Amino acid sequence: MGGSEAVVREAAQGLAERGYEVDVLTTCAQDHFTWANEFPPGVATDGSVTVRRFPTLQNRDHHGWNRAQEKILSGDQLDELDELAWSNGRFRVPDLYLYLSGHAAEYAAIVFSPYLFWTTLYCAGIAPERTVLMPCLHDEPYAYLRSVAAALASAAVVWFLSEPEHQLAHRLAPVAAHHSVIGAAVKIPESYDPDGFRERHNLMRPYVLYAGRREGGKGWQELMAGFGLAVRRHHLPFDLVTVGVGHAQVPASLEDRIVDLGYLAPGEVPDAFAAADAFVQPSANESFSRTIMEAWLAETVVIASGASDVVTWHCERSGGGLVYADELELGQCLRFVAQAPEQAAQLARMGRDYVLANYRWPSVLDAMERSLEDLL
Amino acid sequence: MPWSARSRTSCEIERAAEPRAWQVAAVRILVVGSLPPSESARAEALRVEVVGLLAEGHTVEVVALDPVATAHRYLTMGGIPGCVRVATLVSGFDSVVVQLQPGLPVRERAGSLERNLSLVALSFALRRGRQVVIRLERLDDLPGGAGGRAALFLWRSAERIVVGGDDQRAAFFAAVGRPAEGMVIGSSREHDVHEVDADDLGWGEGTDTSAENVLELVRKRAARERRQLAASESAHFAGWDRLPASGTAFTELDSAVSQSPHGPRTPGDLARSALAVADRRPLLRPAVRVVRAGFRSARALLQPDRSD
Repeated sequence: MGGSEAVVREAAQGLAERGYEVDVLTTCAQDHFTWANEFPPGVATDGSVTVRRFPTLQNRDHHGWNRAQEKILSGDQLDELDELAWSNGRFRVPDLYLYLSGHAAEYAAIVFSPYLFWTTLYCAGIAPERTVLMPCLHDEPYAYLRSVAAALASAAVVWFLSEPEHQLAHRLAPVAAHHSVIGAAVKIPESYDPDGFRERHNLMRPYVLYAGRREGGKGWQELMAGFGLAVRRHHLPFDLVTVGVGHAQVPASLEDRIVDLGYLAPGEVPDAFAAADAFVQPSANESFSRTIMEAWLAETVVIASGASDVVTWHCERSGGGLVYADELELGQCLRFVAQAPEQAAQLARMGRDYVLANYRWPSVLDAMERSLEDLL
Repeated sequence: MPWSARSRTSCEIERAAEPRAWQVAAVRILVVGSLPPSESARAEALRVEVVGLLAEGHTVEVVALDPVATAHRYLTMGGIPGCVRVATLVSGFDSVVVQLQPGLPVRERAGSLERNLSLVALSFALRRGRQVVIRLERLDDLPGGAGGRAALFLWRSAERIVVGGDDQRAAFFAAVGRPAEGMVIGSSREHDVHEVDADDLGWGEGTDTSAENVLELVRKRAARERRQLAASESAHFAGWDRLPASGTAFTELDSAVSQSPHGPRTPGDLARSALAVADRRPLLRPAVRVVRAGFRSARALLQPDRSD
């Protein structure tokens, strides 16, 4: 799962630690490609949080769903029913809907996140007066659906993770009167073990890291193309180490320069950032970008695609990152890290200061609590 | 006493004020009908019914004709094929609740023969099940109305018929009479439009200016919502008769928030009036949201002075 799920999980735990009674209503799925039921349905606990899982069901009309998907991605506007059919066709969780219908009144606030899935588009209308929408918007075709606009307008409260996401929402639709940029946070590791990480994974050469889903929407193909061009043109010493979910499609010409470590245990992730010479964020679809925060915390410089307003905003505010516009500029950034590691480390330290000043859980939870006061 | 064990002759034709008292044992129930997100009174009424059944501890599986309704499974076709599909499903359940709608069992453009065959097909399908409840939120949800011999055959396949309110119940009796000795013709559970105490919205005694601004905001949003509601109603149900009904409802809403028997009203008074009207009208569920949103917006804008 992605950043929004991680933010929700940590926020839920943080609020529970502050004395709130927190239930998480979620699916039995682990993989957002298959939405297959991998966790058992029913009630479990995650620390002080009660987790209620409901099974997903999937549509058999793949052709119809694919047609709608293609129309959305090509920028065509679907009518309301087609939009619902698209949303309903990926996966649906009717038992979650029914549970929430019956128990909505027991919750002072119901937080929905992210914006794109059935769980939000179908369920946010059950009790709009208690609904807090944390959309995690990206400037992508799905964000322009009418049902997304309706969710933004009808929620009682909307939480944004960054100012560019907030501005994007206003370009998309009228936004509920009570909305604010509450930000997000990442847990600060107590220590890092970069040498141990290199040794455990047999990483002998310097590397730049990509952490995230290996898929088109996250800029994977562009990264492959840009990294390939950069290492050939500038004779760079770096490998590209990649961690995360999704099949890592690697061009044959780059096979000796890409190290795919797949899904890392959570405890290993901070070390992966700390051991890297740079972290590359090629995704244009970011509403917050936890990974750049994790990189900066590990004092690793960030090289990010300027196609993301959010990441560009973070880099400009912090001074801790290099932003590239195209493959050539990506090569220049990598070359800078290879040739001026001290200056790169200096940038990274500015990034760490930025995270510590703005994105620690206590201040984010304070902002959430202030916002929830409107509902409680 | 489980209703299946209840003697029919002991039942009276009455408004079932406590429908939840019928059943004591948790059972598996098949619900055939369309739940939200369709913004229709029919879908909302069924949602309330299903939530009530779940609260009683029953296990519910929902099968919908509407392909975007919230459901576990879908009927790929309505009309007679849909009835055949229902027939294959009902035997696995302890009880069946069927909400009639245009398309199930009768297609909207069905002629007289097809209508009769569809009604008989559903009757036979339901006779394979147990503890059958037929819900007819509005009589015009059944193309051709509730009367006629084929429809009577359908009504007699149910142990209980639920209609969408006292007016619909009266209309049902006018069209059908008493379908079977002792059959219960009940009204829907109360629509679960969450009640909100206007005072909980955080208003103190506002100024007249605040009230006027709030009123204007509500009117504006209600007008927009009315247009959207009209459009969606016509698209979804071809229920042209609902358009004037929705118009009337909104007029009533507007009147409630604008007419003041006691001089200038506080925003809290306005909210209370608007929500009271909206709660009485299933058609106005979207408006409830509008009103709440309006007051939230206004509250943010106006910040009534609590010191007055």
